[in-house]
Amino acid sequence: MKHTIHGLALSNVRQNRFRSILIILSIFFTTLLLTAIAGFGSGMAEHNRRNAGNFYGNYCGTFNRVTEEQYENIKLRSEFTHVGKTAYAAQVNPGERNIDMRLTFMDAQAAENINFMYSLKAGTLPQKESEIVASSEFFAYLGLKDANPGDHVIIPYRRDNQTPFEEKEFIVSGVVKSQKMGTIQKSFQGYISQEFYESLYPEEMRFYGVTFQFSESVKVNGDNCEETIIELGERCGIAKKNISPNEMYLMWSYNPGSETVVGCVFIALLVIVVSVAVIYNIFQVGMVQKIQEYGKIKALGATKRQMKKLILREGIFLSAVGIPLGLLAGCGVAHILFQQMIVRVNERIMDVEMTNASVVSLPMLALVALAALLTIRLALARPMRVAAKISPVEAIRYQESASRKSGVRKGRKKISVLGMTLSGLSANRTRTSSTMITMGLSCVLFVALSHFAGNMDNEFEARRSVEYGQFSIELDWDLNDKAYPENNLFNIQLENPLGTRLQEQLKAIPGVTEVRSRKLFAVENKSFGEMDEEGSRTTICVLDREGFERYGKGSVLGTVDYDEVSERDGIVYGFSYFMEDYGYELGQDVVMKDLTEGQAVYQGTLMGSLGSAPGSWVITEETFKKLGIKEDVTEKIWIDCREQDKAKVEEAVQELLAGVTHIETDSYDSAMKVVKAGTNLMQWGIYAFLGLLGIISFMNMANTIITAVVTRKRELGVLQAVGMTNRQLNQMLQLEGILISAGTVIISLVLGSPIGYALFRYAKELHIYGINEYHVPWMEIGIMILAILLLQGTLSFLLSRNLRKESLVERISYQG
Amino acid sequence: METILRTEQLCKYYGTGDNQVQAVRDAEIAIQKGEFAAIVGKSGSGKSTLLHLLGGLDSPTSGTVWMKGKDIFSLKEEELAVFRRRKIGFIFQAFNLVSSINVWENIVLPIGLDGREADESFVRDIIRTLGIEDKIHNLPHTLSGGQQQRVAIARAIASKPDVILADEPTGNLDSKTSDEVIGLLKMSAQKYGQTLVMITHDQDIAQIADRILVIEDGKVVEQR
Repeated sequence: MKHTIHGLALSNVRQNRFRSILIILSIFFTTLLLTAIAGFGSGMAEHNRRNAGNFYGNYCGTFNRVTEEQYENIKLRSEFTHVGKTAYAAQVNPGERNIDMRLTFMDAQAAENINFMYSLKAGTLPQKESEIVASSEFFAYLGLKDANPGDHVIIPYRRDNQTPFEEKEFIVSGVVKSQKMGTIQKSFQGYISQEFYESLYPEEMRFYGVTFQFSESVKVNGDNCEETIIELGERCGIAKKNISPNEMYLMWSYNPGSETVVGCVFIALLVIVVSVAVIYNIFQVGMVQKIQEYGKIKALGATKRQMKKLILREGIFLSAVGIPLGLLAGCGVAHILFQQMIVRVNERIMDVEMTNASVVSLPMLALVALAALLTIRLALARPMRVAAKISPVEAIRYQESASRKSGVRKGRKKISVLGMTLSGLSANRTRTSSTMITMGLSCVLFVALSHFAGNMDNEFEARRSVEYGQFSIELDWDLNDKAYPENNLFNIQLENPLGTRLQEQLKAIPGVTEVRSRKLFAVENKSFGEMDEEGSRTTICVLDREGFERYGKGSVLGTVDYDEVSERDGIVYGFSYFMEDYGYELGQDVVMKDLTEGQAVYQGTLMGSLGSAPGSWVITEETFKKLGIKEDVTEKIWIDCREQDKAKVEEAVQELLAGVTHIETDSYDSAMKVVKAGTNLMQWGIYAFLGLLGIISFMNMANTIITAVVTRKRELGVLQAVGMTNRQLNQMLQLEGILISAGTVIISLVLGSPIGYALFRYAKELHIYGINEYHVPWMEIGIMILAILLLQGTLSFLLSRNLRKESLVERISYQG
Repeated sequence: METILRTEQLCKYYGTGDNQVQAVRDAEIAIQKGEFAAIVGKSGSGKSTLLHLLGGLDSPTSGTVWMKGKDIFSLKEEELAVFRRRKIGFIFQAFNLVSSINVWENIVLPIGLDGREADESFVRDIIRTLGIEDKIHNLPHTLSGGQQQRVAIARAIASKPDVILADEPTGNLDSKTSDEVIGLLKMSAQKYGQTLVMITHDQDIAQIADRILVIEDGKVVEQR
C-alpha cells in the first residue's frame, strides 16, 4: 500500500499541473524570503560581532584623566588585559589655517585597541624621541609634500596656551591613511613617542586616556558590562565622570544583535503566516475539485491515516522541488541584499576595512528548510483532516454547491453579465472570501508598511540638517573645553564670526534672497546644587514663533505655545525624553547665570518641553530681548537664494568664509543627497519584501481564478452555446477578477490603514528617519491596486484565451 | 410552407488520411417552419455533430447551413454568438443549466445576454405550461432531472427563437419522465409555433415527430 499511496500522490501532483506549479512557486518564494531574511539577519549579527572591533575599537571602555600611578595599578590588576594609554601632548601651530593640529602620544597597545595599525599606510609607530606618525595631509600642512618614512619635518608646537611655540625637527616613522572624517572636521593628529611625551611633562603632570579589555576572570554579559566597568574603574580610583564604556563594542560583542534576531524572527513569522494561508487555500480550493476522487480512494479501502499521508505526500513532493530552489535563490538574494545594504553603506560611512561575514551557514539553511516544511505541514493540516473525514458515499455524490444550506436564490428579473458574475462569486462564497482574505492579508501588510515607508519625508529629514534656505553656517563650538577654552561657545561669541558684519556681507551677495539667524548662548545652570561644576554649563536657544511651531510638533510636555511662554517669560526644556532623567519638573524655577561674573542672566518658570530642540533650553525672542545680553550670540545662519543662483552664491559664500575659524557649513542639496540615499535604501528593502510577499499571495489568487474557470469549463461552454459572446465571456472573467481584487483592496485598506496609522505614530514617537507629517500614501496604494489589477487582468485574459482554444463542442461535452 | 433551415452539401470530417472520420457527409436537409423533425441514429452515427453544425456550435469542413436564407457560417464568431441567442434555442441531454443562478434567471439568460428585457407574461406562460411555476426561485441542483429539463425547454422557448435544437433531451431521464418531457416539448412547440429539431436514438420517441430523418455513417436519409 505504501507504494500505492506514493504513486497516487505523485500522479495527483502530475495531474493538477497548474495547481502543482502554483504551490511549488508559493513554496519557492516562501523559502526564498525566509532564507533571505534569515541570511540577512544572521549575516548582520555576525558582521557586527566580527566587525565590532573594526568599527568601534577593540576595547571595552576608556578611563580618562588617569595618572601614572593609577595606570600602573590598572596594568597590575587581573581584571584588565590589553591596557593601552594615550595622552594629549601638544598643539601644533597651523599657521593661518583654520584647522586644529595636535600631537598625541599613544602606546602600541592603545594603537592596537583603536585599530590604528589598519590605517598605517607605511612605516612603524614612533619609537625614538624625534619620530612621528601622521597623515600626509598633516605633513603637507607643515610643508612636507608626499611624506615618506625617513623624511624630516619641522614642527612648531607648544604644550599649552601659556607657553610660546617652539620648533623641533621630527623624523617621519610612518604615514597613516587620511581619514575622511578628519578632512571634514579639519582636525589632524600627529602621533609622537613616549620618550618625547615624557620629556614634555613631568610625571605629576601626565594624564592618560586608558583603554582596556576584560580578562577572562571577569564574568560579564550584555546586561552588566557597563556597570562592571564603572565599578572596576571606581575601584581604581577613577572618578565616575571619567569612565566611559565603549557601548557599541560592548553591545555587539557581548550581545550580538539580539534586536536584529528578534526583528527577523518577527518578519519570518509574518511570512510563514501569509504562506500558510496561501498554500492552505490553494490546496483547499483544489480539494473541492478532487473530493470525488478522494472519495473513491476511500471507498476502495484507504484508511484515514493513508488519506492523510496521501495529502502530506503531495505536499512533500512539491516541497522537494520548491524548497531547494528557494534556498538557493534565497542565498543569492541575501548575499546581494547584504552587500548592497550593509557592507557598502558601512564602508562608506565608517571608512574601515571589513572582516567579511558569511551570510549563509549550513545550520541556518537547515533551520530555514525546517521552517518551510513546517509552513507546508501547517497549511496541510486542515486539508488532511478533511480528506481523512471524507465519507465515500457523500463524496461520490458531492457537488460543491450542495454544501449550501439553501437551494433557493431570490435572483433578479433580468440577468446580465454582471449578474452572472455576482451569482458565480456568491455561489462559491467560501472560496471567494478565503481568496480575498489571504490576498488581502499581504495587502494589509503592504498598506500598513507603506504608511511608514511612504511617509518618509526626505525634505523633512534634510531640513533637520539645513532648516531654512539653501546653505547654513554654524559655529563649531565646545561647551567647556578646559584645554582649549578658545573653542568654547562663550569665547567664540565674544568676537562672533557670525556677527552682523558677516550677515550684512552675506545679504550683499548677488542672488541671495534671505539671510536668517538663530541665537544660542552658553550659561551656567544654577538650578541644581548637586551637579558638579563641569556638568552645570548648558545652552539656551532663542526660538522665534516659527521655530516654536517647528519643534513643537511632537512629543511635547507642558506648554510650548509661543505666546503663553512669551507672556510669562517662561523657559522650555529642549528634550522631553530626558527631562525627567535630569530631574526637572514642570513649573519649577530655573536660574541661569552668566559665565563670567556669575550674575543671574535668566530666572523664570519651566513651562514645558519640546521633543528635540536645537539647544538644551529654549526661550522666546521676546524674553531674550528683556535679558539685555550685549554680545552677539548668533550661532547659526541660513542663506536662501534662487535655485538658479545656487552655484554662484555658494562660491561667494565660500570666498567670504575663507580664513574664518570655528564655523561649519552645510548645504541643503548635500543634506538632501545623504537623506535620499538612506530613504531609498529603506524603502527599497521594505517594498522588495512586500513585493515578494505579494507574489506569494498572488499565487493564491491565480489558483482561485484558474480553478474557477477550469471547474466551470462546461458551464462556460453552455453559456456560449446559448449566446454569450467571447467579449461577454471575457468581461465576465475580468469582472470576477476585478471583484476579487476589489474585495482584496477593501480588506487591505480597511485593516491596513489603521494599522499603518498606528505604525506611523509609533515611528514618529521614536523619531525614525524622516517620519514627520502624516499623509495617506496614495501613490503606494495606487501602485498596489494597479499591480493587482494588472496581474489579475493578464491572468483573466490568458485564461479566457486559453479557454477558447478548445472548441465549443469540446467544452460542452467536457466531463468535470 | 417556408423553409426555415436548410443545409447544402454539409460535411464535417475529423482527422486526416487513414484516421479521417467522416462524421457528416454531404448532408442535404430542409426543415419547414413550425415543423417537428426528429433526427435518429445510432451512437456514433454523427447525429450530434449534425445538430452542432445546424446550431452553429461547430464549423463545417465544407458546405453551408442556411437559416432563414442566411448563411450562418458567413458570420463572424461574435455575430454567430448573437445569432445563436436570438435565433436558436438549445436543449441538451445533460440539461446544462447554470448552477449559480435560479430557475427564472436560467430561463431568461439568453435574453439577458442579448441585453433585452424578457417578455415577462410570455415567460410566465411558458413556465405555467411546463408546470414549474413553484420552482422559479430554486437553484438547479435542487430540481429533479425531469424538472431540470423542463427548465431547459423553457429557456429554449423564452427567447422566441426561429428553431429549437434538442440534443437527446431525454437521454438522462427515466422512461416515464421522458414521455412527459417529450409531450411537453411537442405541446409547447406547437403552442408557441416553434420549429423543433430533435436528436434521439430512441425510435419510439421519434415517432411523435412530424418527420423523421435517419443518419447513418454521416449520411442523412429521409425516412418519412
